[in-house]
Amino acid sequence: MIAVLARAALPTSRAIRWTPIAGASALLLVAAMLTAASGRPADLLPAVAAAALASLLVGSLHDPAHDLLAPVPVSAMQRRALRLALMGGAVLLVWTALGLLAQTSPAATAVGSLLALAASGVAVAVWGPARTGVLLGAVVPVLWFAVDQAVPGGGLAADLVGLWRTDPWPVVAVALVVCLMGRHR
Amino acid sequence: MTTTDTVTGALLATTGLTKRYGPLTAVDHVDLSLGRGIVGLLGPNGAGKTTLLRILATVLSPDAGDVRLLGLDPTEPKERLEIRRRIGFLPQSPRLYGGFTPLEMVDYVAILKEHTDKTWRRNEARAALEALGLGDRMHQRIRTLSGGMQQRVALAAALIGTPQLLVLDEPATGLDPEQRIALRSVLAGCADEGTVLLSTHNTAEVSALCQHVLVMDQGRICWSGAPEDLAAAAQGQVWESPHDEPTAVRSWLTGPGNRRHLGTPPEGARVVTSTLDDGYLLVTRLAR
Ligand SMILES: Nc1ncnc2c1ncn2[C@@H]1O[C@H](COP(=O)(O)OP(=O)(O)OP(=O)(O)O)[C@@H](O)[C@H]1O
Ligand SMILES: [Mg+2]
Repeated sequence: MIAVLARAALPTSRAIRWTPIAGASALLLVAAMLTAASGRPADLLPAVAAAALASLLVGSLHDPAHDLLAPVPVSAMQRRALRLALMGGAVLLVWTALGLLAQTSPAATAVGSLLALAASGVAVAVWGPARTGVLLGAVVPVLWFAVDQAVPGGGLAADLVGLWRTDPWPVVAVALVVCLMGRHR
Repeated sequence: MTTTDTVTGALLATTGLTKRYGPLTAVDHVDLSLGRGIVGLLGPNGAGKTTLLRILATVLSPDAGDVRLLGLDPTEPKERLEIRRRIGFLPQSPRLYGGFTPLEMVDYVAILKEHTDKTWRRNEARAALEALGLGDRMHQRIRTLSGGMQQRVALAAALIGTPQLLVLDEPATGLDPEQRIALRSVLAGCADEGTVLLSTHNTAEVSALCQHVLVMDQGRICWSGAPEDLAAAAQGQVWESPHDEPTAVRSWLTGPGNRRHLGTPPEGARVVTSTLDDGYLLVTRLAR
């Protein structure tokens, strides 16, 4: 199966739409450069970047030819994993570049928070309805980020919605288990 | 040798197949047993054809009932994988990658069908595209092709690897008359290797192509047999006249000043030879 996926990697990369991530990355990198040049700390930038990049990563699961490909021996889960691997590589490159450019603490640009948002979105995409699952999944990172910003700090609610920043790895683990449970979907 | 179900000898067999969407039963206790050849699936909009075909293509799981495809059980992961290596599927209104060429698209499907040899894949893809009249378009971006051409690209992708079971949901949609005729020869060739099950709204397609016809209505198979028998089912119950007929269960215009009627002909009516359309209208009418 690995050999089949390796063979499918190049055409799959061509089937993915790269324009959204290219546009978003350019914006984020420019923002990082500008804040670095101004000498001010870019407090919010890593969080915004994590939400945007995670959303785009989940969005890469959108496959227009899904109906045609549905009964091929390479399962939908394997095809999704391939798309995530390809897009994930690009996302990690942008994330690393942002980390180098932005004047923030290393903790703010640790990859865990990005993965927590992305994995949660993927879990929703896997379990969501066939037609709209990916869209719903792509909304999750942005929504979670927005709710986290909106909820005032201090209470249990704030702790919970801040989990993607404060305890990203357990979130990743739970989301991965949820994804694996939906591998036949 | 073709693998067949050891019990029934059928390449495709279902018993009590049922699929529900909430309160709606889209496929209702369908029993099928199909061997080699081309089988046409007729039925009104919403009859459950697509749902049934998606189950038979291993895309959708039924809520109840058994399916055996090529003698294998699609609920068993290993057997499902083996089935998927040997079936071709054309969904209704397929979407493709606009940035690919037809050759790349068909080759991509062949890769995902685990065909390893690149030369073999390219040759097969070329042959399928040429058979469907796309020989001069195979290097053009799909987004620049017409709807009917895109449909033929998807068909070529379904045909790749000479599947033993070919499940086609309205394959002739959007095809011009010349391409419909070309498609008939291609499908007739496929039927030598196994079973072709296709849904259509075109009874002429069924007459020309199918050895067997299934009529589906409200989730059930309400008629099954040879196309000529479906036409014969309405024999003696079709007549023509210039005006409306009170005894007709169905009447429709066939030309200026001429109406065709289905039902019990009145005394002295001009009874005409029934066609597949008449038979289809009669059995779907009786099923309600
Ligand atoms: N995903 C779905 N969710 C809910 N209902 C559905 C779904 N898919 C189909 N249906 C319903 O199931 C019934 C059968 O639909 P299906 O698409 O199988 O019909 P069909 O015979 O293929 O019709 P057509 O000739 O228009 O293609 C319809 O009433 C339809 O509304
Ligand atoms: Mg349909």
